[in-house]
Amino acid sequence: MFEISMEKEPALSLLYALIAGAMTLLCVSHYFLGHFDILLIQLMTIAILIFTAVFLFLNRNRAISLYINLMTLSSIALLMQYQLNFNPEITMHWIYVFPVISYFALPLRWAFLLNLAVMLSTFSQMYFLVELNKAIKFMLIYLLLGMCALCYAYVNNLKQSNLLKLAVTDYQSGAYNSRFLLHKLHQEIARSETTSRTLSMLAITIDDYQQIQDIHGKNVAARLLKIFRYKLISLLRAGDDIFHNGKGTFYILLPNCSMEGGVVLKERLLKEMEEEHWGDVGDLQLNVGLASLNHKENAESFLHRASGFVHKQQQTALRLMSFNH
Amino acid sequence: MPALTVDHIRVVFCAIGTVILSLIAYMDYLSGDNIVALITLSLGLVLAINGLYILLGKEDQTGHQVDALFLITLSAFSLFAADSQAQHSYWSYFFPIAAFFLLSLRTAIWCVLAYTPLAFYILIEYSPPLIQAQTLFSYAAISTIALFLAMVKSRTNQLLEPLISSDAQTGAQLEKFLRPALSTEINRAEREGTGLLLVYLSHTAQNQKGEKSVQLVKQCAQAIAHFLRPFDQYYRLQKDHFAIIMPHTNSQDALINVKNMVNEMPEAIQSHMQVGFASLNVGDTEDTLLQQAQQELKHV
Repeated sequence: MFEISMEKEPALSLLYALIAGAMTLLCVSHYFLGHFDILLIQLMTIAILIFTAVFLFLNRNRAISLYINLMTLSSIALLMQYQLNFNPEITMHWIYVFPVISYFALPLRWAFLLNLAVMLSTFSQMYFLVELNKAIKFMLIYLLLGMCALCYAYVNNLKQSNLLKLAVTDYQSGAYNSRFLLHKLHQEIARSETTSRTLSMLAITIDDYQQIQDIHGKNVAARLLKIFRYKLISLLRAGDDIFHNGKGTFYILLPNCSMEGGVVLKERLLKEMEEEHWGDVGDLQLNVGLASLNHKENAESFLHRASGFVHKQQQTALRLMSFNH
Repeated sequence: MPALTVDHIRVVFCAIGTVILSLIAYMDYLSGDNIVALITLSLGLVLAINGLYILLGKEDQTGHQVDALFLITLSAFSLFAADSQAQHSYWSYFFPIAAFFLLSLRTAIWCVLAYTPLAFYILIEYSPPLIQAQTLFSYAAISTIALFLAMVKSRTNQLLEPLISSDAQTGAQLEKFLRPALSTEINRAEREGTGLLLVYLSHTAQNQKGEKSVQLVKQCAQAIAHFLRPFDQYYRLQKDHFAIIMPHTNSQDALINVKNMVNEMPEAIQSHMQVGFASLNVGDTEDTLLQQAQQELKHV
C-alpha cells in the first residue's frame, strides 16, 4: 500500500556509487603502498558496486532490487573472505563496514543471516591466520558493530511500521488508504443499520495502471492519481469520501444513495472522465463496479462484491477486445 | 508474544553491549593494555547505567543526559585508544553509528562533523602507514552509511507524519482533522435532513503532571470510546480536551451518553469536567458549532 521505502533505492544507488568512488582512491593508495595482492580484489568490488549503483538507479521493480542487493553484498562478502588470506590486518577494517551496509540495504532477516555467515567464516579463517587472541577480539568487535547496526535498523523499522499503522492517507493520490476504507465501511454499515438508509459503493479501476507506471515512470503515475482524485471530487457530492488501494483502484462510498442513484452517478462519471484529457498518458480505459449494501452484509463481503464487479468488467472488456481483433 | 518497543530494544542492546565490552576489556587486560581495559570497562558501565535508566523508566531529560555522557565517553575513548595503541583504531567506527542512533539528525550531523577532523588527525598520526588509508576509508564509509540511514529515516517520518490521523496515546483522532470531518458531517446532515451534535469536553484539573496526567487523559479517552456508537467520532484537542461529533443524535440522547462517559472517568477528574453541546441549525458552519460548544461549557 505504502511504498515509502522506495525512497531507499535512490539513496542506496548513491551510496554504492560513493563507496565505489572512495574505494577507487583506496586502490590508488594500495597501488603506491605495494598491496598488489589485494588491489585486483578491490577493483572487482568496485566493478560490482558500480554495476549495482547503475542498476538500482535505472530499475523500477523493487522485488528485483532486493535480490540484486543480496547478490551484491554476498559477492562482496565472498571477496572479503578471499582477500583475508592475503592481508588479514587491512581486510579486518574492510569487514567492519559490512554489518552497517548490509543492515541498511537488506531486510533485517537476510542481513542477520548474512552477517552471521560472514562473522563465522572470518573467525574460522582468522583462527588459522592470526593468534587466537586477535581472532576472538575481532569477533567481539564485529559482534558489537553488528549489534549496533541491527538495533539501529530494527528501531527504524519499528518506528516506521508504527507510523504506517496510524496513517490513513495514501500518499500517492492523497485519497484515504485501504485500511481506512475498511474502518470507514464498518462505521457506515453500522450507521446505515441504525438509520435504515441505503449505502452504495463505486469501485473505479484505471486499466493498465501498472503499465502506465512502467512506461511513464512513477512520478507521472502518481501525478495522474492526484489529478484523477481531484476530478472525482469535483464530480461527487460534497463530503463523499474517496479511497485508493495503491494499485490504481479508487473506491467511493455513497451514503444514502440507492442503486438507481448510483447508476446515474456511474454513467455521469464515465462520461466526464472519457471527455477528460490526461496529458502524456493519453486516454484512460476505466472499469466501474457498483454495489449496494445488502441486508446484514458485512464490510469485507460488501467490498469484495464491489471489487468483483470491476474485475468482471475488466474480463469482459478483454474478451471484447480480443473479439474485435 | 508481546510486541517489542523501542525501549525494549535499547535495554537489550545495553545489556549485550555491556557484556561484549566487559569481555573486550578482559582481553585488553590479559594483553597488558591496562588503561585501555579500564576505559573499555567504564564505557560498558555507562552503557549499563543507560540501560538501567531506560528499564526504570526515568524522566526523558535524564535519559538524554546519559546518552550524551555515553557519546562523550565514547568519543574521548575512541580518540585516546587510537592514539595510545594503533591496533585500537576501530573504536572510532562506533562514534558515527552511536551519534546517529542516539541524537536527532541535525545534532548528530554536527557532532560527527566536529569529531571527524579529530578522528582523521589521530588515525593519520598514529596508525601504521600501511593501514592508514584503509582505516580512513572504513571510518568514512561507516559514517556515510549511518548518515544515509538517518536521512532515509527522517525523510520517511516527514512523509508519514502528515498522513497520521489518530493520536497514539488515546486512539482519538487528531485535532487537525476535526474541522474537515465536521464540515463533511454538516453537509451530510443538511442533505439528509438529520440532526448533528457536537460535544466539547474540557477539564479544569491542572494540578496533575507528567505520567499521571497522561494516564488520566488515557482513562478519559477510554471512557468516551466505551459509550460511543460505531459511527460517532471523537477528537483530542490540545492536550486534555475532547470533541465528539454525534450524527443522528438529539440533545437528550447525547446528554445521557455524556453523563455515562463522565461517570466512567477517573474520580479525580469528574468534578472538574465541563461539557458543552452544540446542535446544528440552519446556516451553521464548523466554526459556529465549535464556538457554540465552547461557550456552553458547564459541569454535568
